[in-house]
Amino acid sequence: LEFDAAKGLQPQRLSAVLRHGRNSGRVWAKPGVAQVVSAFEKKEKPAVVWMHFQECTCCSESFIRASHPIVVDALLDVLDLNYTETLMAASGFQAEKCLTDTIANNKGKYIVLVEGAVPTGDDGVYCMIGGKTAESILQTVAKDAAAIVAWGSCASNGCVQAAKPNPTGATPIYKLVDKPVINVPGCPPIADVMMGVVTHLLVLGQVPALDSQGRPKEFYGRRVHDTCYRRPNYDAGLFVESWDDENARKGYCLYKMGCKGPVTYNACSVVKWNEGTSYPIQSGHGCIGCSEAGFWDNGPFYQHLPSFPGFGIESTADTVGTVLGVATLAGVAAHAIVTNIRKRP
Amino acid sequence: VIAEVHAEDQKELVRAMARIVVDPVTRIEGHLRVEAVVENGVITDAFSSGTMVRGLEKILIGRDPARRLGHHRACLRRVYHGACAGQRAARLKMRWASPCRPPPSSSATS
Repeated sequence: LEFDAAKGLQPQRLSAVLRHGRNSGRVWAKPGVAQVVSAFEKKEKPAVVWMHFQECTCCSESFIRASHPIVVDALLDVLDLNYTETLMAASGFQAEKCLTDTIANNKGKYIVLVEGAVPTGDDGVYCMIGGKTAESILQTVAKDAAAIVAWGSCASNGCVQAAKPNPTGATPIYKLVDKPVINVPGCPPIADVMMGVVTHLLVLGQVPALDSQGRPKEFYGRRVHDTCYRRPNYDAGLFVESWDDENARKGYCLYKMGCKGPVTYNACSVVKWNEGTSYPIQSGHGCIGCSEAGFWDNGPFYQHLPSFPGFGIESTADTVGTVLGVATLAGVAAHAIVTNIRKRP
Repeated sequence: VIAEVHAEDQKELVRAMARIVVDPVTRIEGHLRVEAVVENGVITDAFSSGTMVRGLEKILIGRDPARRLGHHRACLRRVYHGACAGQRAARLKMRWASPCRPPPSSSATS
């Protein structure tokens, strides 16, 4: 019996693997796995409500592509997802009853997952569900929640509807509720990061360690730039100069094409997307910085960051062209300073 | 008098006049409310309304056309239709050469 990594962390199958491993005297290589499996098997399924406000549903689309564990296992065996407008069978008043029943029967125990920003302009008329404003619904579900997770940039920092001039007064969740909110930004967030946050809540029963912006440190502690596989090209001053040029085919750094990896805190270059297949930079497009607050207003996507000149500790006179070398060396000090300033705890 | 009743309540449906309200309509992307006016067991009038608006049209004004990527976030369940329609609009407006040929359905989604 072999553990199939591609199939993900499936409770039943994994526990069988673990038992077999014990019986045959093998030592399981990952100490955390047993803890996860026992939590998935023993704990009663926590009630979960998934709220939809001003959103494009990309967070839901991302979540259903989770692979560790696969989403079917999570939704059917691990979570008790009682309300999500995108997937649930009930409509209309029956859907609302699912929500009110869940809140009434699980006071202080249910998990609220919020997708989308909440419009506060004009008394909240820009998002109405069942005749109630998004803000009033949020306050109702947040009141007795055990944990609140803000999925995606919409719920975490407003995203596209909060871009200037923010005509509907779109507001992130943490500004509206007086409880700690786990922000999982990204447009959308990585599926396995979303599942990782849910798993953390289930297994340890507590909120993961958060940074100053309420993001889980385990996934948002490092910049995309720090672990980018094209980073050596950046350090060596090898850049794509225009789309589809020779350098692009060679897979050089996309910084000059506007890549926001150096100022974006996310796990894209580690966890990657679609079961670890790829991520934007790997497919040849620079990072647009979608997990940073206000990324729609952070300057053009295809212009490189003004205060981030090319520089590399490995760059030497014989690896960098003369002209390029002068330009890159001129920015040595500036880059070092900016990197340190932008580095967050 | 129009009374708001629930769809399951069959007795109410055959009343002289009734209004069926389904809000939220689920298993769709976004927020939808559907109302139907029933007279003598027959629907005589019906309304549907999107109950969420973000003002993306206002947000796009004055932006770099490359920001047509914003069309992605109109709806990420039909992401490439929106993106390609936005790109086509930008191309038509600015006479850009674009390799992207929008799918036929995108004409209704821009």
